[in-house]
Amino acid sequence: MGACSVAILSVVALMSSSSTKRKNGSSSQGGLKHYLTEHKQTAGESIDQLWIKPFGSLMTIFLIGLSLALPLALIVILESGDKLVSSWQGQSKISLFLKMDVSEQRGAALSQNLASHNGVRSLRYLSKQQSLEEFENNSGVAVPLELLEENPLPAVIVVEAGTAHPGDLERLRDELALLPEVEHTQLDLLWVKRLQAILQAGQYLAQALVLILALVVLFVVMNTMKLLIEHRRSEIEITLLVGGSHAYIRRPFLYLGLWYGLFGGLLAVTAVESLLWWIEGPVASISALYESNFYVQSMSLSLFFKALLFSSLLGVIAAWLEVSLHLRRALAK
Amino acid sequence: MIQFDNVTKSYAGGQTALQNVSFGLARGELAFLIGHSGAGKSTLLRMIMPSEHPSSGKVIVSGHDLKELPNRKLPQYRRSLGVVFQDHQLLSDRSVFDNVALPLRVSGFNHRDMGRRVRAALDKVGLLGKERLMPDTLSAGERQRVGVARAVVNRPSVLLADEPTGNLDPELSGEIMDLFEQFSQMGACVLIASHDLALVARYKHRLLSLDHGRLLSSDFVSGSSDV
Repeated sequence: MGACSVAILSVVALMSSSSTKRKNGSSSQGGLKHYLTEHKQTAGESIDQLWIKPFGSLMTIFLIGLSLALPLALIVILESGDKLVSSWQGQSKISLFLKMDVSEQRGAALSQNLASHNGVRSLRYLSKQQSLEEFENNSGVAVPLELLEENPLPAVIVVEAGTAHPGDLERLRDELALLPEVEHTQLDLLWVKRLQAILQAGQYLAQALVLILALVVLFVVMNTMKLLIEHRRSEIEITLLVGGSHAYIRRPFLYLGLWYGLFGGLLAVTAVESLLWWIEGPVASISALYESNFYVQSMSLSLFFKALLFSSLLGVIAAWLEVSLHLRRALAK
Repeated sequence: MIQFDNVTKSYAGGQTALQNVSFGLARGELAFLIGHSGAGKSTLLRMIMPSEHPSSGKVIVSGHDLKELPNRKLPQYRRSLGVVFQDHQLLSDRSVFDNVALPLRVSGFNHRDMGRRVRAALDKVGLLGKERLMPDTLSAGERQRVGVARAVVNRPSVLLADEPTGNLDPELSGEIMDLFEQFSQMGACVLIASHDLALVARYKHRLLSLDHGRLLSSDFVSGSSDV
């Protein structure tokens, strides 16, 4: 939070920096102290301004919060989905079905050779007999061997790949398929790819939403600033006439924009966290039904700070734009 | 200090506020600007602030050609001016202290110096002790004096006043005018637009007489305290 605050306040200070020369021979340290005191005072006064018209301020903060909550929620859910896909990809296995005429000794030797392959993290060799037992265990159906002349199931080597990347997995599968002992390979990545494509589309959607709703926030804050500037028009005119610089005029509005953005961001974060808490139980139930370890995770600390930084900057930028427009119009008169 | 060279100001509707006005005021000079309502007094003052620019001609103040003054240098220039407005132009949601301190605050004064100067300025206009009051609680005359205190608190080199005694009783008007005279004696160039010819006549001054935007005279007048 500290780094975030410093970053935001630095931006405000930069955007409202004045070329004012310190008077009365005050030292640079004293000048800096005075400058910081001025900023502290302006920041405090601008917070007080929020309470002059509490309903209007709350409405602005509410609009900012709601506008940012939607893309933020999407980003958090996509992050959870991304982690799920990564975990599934990490468990990606390639099944090598050996030819029926490959002896058990050759199969075991092949699995020993493959264990030292770069792309293989671990493997498990299932003889024809073990394959049959596993089939019977998993399916609950006993194979009537007395009716069959021989075990119809091939020996299998189940390879756990050392990579999670779909492209690398496919290359490893193709390489292993060329082995003379291998009849058939199986790598079921299509559904992972589909899910990944959906998540990627979701990320584009989230980015587009962030852009559109950031513009909404800009317009909301600019409109609020416009009303505040109108309310303080005479004060601005008098301050300009007594030598107030544009930076000096801008400063209280930048702090107001900062508070709107920051409180709006906090509201968005709170709304998203509440939503996640609300859907956590139902999602866990669905996940359990699919024997999945998927769960909706809480917002990461980095995303939390990024959201606050983003919303605060939006508020500051909107205030800067509106006040600059007003001052430009005032100068043009 | 203040130089007007053939200054004409016309508005889009064809109305001319000033026509070929030329005069010069030196450092330490006290000048009164007289003329009927609509003669162009306020326009002339606004050109020095400058919240308006001439349609033709030049306004030069403290060596600055105001039309050529870049926007970024405007605040610094305005800090060298003190302006008393006819309608006070006080901030109603700020205390007397904060109103008077505004020019110092925008100039970057520290709080200690600000406090000292504000109290000195309020003392000069007879309002010491009323720092914490809000302008709405003051009489019209007191508000005008707050405006005067704000104009002089920055010790400006040029002091402009638009009907500064309009709301004051004769005694207080005299005190405020004496204050302006003191400022001119300290080296400031003081230009006052006024209707009160009797009050004006008490001081040694330059008299700039405007009529329908034309400067009729810019004579030196010896003051008489008997008037």
